[in-house]
Amino acid sequence: MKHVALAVASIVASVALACGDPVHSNAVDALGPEANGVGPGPTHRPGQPCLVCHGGSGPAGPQFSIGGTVYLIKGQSDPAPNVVVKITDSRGQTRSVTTNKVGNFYIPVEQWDPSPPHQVELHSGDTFVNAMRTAIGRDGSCSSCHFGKPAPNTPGPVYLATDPMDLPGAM
Amino acid sequence: MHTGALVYSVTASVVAIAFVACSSAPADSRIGVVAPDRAQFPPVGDLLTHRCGELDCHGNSQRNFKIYGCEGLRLDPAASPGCPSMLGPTATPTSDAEYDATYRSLVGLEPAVMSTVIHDKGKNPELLTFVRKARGDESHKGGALVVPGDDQDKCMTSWLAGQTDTDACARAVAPPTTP
Repeated sequence: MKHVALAVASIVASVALACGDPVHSNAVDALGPEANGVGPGPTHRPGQPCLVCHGGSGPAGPQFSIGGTVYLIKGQSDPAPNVVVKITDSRGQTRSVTTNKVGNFYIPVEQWDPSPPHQVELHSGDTFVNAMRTAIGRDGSCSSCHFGKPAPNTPGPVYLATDPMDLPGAM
Repeated sequence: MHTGALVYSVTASVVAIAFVACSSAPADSRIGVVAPDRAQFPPVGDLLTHRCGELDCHGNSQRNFKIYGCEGLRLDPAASPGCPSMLGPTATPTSDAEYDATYRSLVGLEPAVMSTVIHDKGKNPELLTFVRKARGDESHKGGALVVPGDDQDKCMTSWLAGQTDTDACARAVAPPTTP
């Protein structure tokens, strides 16, 4: 009987492994462990592609439709909290979400499942607006495209302003 | 038959077979393609990079149909996404090499079908998968982006017909066109 149970367990395990998506698994693994002292939650993993784990294929939940991190100044690593990220989808529907203390923002798919392409604006203060000049075609993770230093395949991270003097309240 | 004649006959046959075998198409031969006009492509390339060439769509070197341009993926290792119209004069505009790379990628997708379409002066553009996908007539992750007869469609199909409608192309990329 034990042998039968073992055989069944082996088959189940093999099927489970065979059904896994190695590309997705590798993408999750490539993100590495959590940073010291920051567990899973709204402030974890700033700058990483949120939807790798929160895209519906696991391992994390909830599923997001859009998520990212906004930095204050181009080329610098200070986060931009309290920035309103306004997203408009191809149907003309609009949602706004505010960045938290590490610059992260996200929209759970159960709250809004936008239809791409999307256009995005960053709002800070009463008047400051920085609009993304191109559309988001399909990927809800900002940092799938916005990562590292500017290169042929990335404009670099999402930032609020190019120059500190452009920020609201700058003298 | 005399033994000498038999040997001669067999040898001649072998040589003839070898000659025929070696005279087939060379291994590095290429099929031809009746291609649309490269000189008229830049306005179409501008439309493609604007509408389809986002970094998370066809502005990606891993896609079959790769689109290069200043609104997305760059060819020059020293360049990054961003056009002068967006970022000012320090940004690098779409280069001729980028238009060329996009053109080659597009024409090379379905060279035989492209030849048929161009031979017929663009009469049946929907034979091309990229047209069907753009119109949403075929499964497309990016959805239906073009409506038959709109400026975007005119831009693409006029190029396939041999005379790019540059006015339609200009209107198609003039903001706001997306979403």
